[in-house]
Amino acid sequence: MKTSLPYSLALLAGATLLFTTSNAGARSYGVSSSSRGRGTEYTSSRGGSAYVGPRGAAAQDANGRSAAVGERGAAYSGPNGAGAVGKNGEYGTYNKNTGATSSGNVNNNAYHSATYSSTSAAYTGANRVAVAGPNAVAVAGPNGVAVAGRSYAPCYPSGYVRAMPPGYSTAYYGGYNCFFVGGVYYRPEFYQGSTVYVVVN
Amino acid sequence: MKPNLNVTAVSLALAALFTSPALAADAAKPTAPNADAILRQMSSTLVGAREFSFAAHRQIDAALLAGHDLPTDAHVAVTVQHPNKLAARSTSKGDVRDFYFDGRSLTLVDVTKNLYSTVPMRTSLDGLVEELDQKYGFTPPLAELALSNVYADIRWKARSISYQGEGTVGGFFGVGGVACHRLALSGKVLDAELWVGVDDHLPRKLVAAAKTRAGKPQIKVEFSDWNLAAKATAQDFTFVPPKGAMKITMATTAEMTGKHKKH
Repeated sequence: MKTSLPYSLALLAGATLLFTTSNAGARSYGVSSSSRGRGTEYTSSRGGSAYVGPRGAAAQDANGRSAAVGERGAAYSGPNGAGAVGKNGEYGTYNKNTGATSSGNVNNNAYHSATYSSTSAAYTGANRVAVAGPNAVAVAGPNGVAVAGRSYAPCYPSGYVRAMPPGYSTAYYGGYNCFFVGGVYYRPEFYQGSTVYVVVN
Repeated sequence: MKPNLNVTAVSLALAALFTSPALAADAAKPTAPNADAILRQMSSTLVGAREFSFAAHRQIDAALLAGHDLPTDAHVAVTVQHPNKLAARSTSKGDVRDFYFDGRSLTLVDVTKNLYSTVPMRTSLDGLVEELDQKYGFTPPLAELALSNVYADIRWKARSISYQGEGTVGGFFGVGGVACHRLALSGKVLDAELWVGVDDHLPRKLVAAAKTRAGKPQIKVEFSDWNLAAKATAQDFTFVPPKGAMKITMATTAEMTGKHKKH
């Protein structure tokens, strides 16, 4: 049954009574949860989702970056690359920008492998893997997995910015009240209580 | 006459009970105030006041703000009129934000940039918090204290509550502060200490720590300027656009999520 959480991150804006349960902690970050199968699915108001079940965990952010870990290995996929490692240490990585791939088997000795590029890096060890892209990082070890993406930071759809250059003037453009600066029109909007700007032109 | 041994034994035991210094001290020791009762009293005080206003100084550790466009330090002023009116102003470095809710609509104002947006919101204060959050992803600052049952809201969040003793909020070197009950509230993610005035039963301070985060970052709120006899008028909850104010859109969470998925 889906749990509907009546409040969200703005509780933090109010700095309110955040001493609360996990639900309240979650909702302060715009997260809701629901049970699914034998696990729990989490979704965030920013478009991310994660699933934690008895046999593994997976997460995906709003921009399609995803990471998962199960009984047989772990994998990460992002806009600039992908990496995976199996339970016995076999691994593979792919970098979209450079086209570089790597694969191999990691034994239980000190052997390890790493690939780097300007935009992403992957590391595999005997029983762990770490993959970092420009917008996210995923780490999987023998005891768990952690995933972090930039969507955790303020994340707006493409074309939105949270600040304008100084020296703007007001203008009416395209049917909207806008700001104009540096040859660019910015259409202000409120989103989650904050002022954001759509880059119109 | 042969004494009744049973009666004698009981008498001796009772005598020992009431003459034992340690036990007598225990009997005289006052019991700790009931934390739950104090919380109920605080709620009753807030809910019982048809109109009230207060101010708060809020500080949030930066570690808790990752992902949020929120200032670490802000001053908040709130005026409430039950059952369906609220006005609030949040002032922080470089930003002043106003909220007006009159039971029919909600207006959010970026005072610094002279922007505003008004959306229909025909509901009570309870409904405001829920509807605004679900549709637009935010709530007015400290609106929880304007709910119709503050106690129920807090107890829904806190798994346990206990009494921690008395303390003083404010004052100068211990003089002139407000005597408070300190209540510990515990949740799965955050623990908090809520300070409630001994005499006026009003919230005076809240310190919450995210116990699951490294370094246990905190939120601190100090309440002040309580006025339970506020004489608010309808104008206090009605936004009148100042000269040159620009009306803008308030994007819903669903709209922004949809735009995210397109890219």
